[in-house]
Amino acid sequence: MRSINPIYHHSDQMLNQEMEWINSAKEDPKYFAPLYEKYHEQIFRYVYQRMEDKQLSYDVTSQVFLKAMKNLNKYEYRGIPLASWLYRIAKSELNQAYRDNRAKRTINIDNVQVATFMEVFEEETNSLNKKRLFNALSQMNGLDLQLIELRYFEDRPYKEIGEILNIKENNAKVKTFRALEKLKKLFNKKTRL
Amino acid sequence: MKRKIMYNRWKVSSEEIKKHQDFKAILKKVEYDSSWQWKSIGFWGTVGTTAVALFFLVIHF
Repeated sequence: MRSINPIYHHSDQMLNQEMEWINSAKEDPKYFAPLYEKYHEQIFRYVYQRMEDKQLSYDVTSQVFLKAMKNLNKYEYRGIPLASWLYRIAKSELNQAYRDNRAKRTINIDNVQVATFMEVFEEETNSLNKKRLFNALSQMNGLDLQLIELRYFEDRPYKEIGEILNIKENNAKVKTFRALEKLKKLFNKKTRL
Repeated sequence: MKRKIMYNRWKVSSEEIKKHQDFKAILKKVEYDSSWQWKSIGFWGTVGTTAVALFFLVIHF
């Protein structure tokens, strides 16, 4: 599966650089520019993965950065990288958009991801199984779906998933495994399609 | 919550996403909001000081 977050793994030098940018931006918001440039694409992709409308996704992304800049003084590095903090803001902005009925919860999946699930479920990739998978995905609860998306659609490490969802890395691993089991159960449940 | 499944949606290119970057617009909003807050603090500070001064004037005279 492809990764949409190639800059998660930071070297010490990169982390120090980022901390410098954050400290400068706390003094003057105009110094947030390099952080905006660095994270804009990945936050947009995170939002658009869960939304149908492209323009609205751009708007929500802008809202995420606006909130981040306004609340930057509250951000303190305690092992959670800025990216994960931005994802948390994005998650809350997305939920707000769903609640306001501005956006519909969307699950984006492609043929490669469908094939991967079929491999995991030891099933054939055909149109019937594809429908069964879509049906199973739309029946999952919110947290389980998030875990599946973060791990299997976006190929994120468990450490990052834990940071985004505010849970420990090991817990993220266990919960993701359980979510996959639930997905498999829903997939195997006999329903009329 | 009802969900919509989208299959094989066209991937947005990095170039297109970059074209939508507008840091200046966000910065403007941040600065506008913080200046409004300052005005608000200034306004209420003035009102508060005047009210306290008036209170002492009324008590003394």
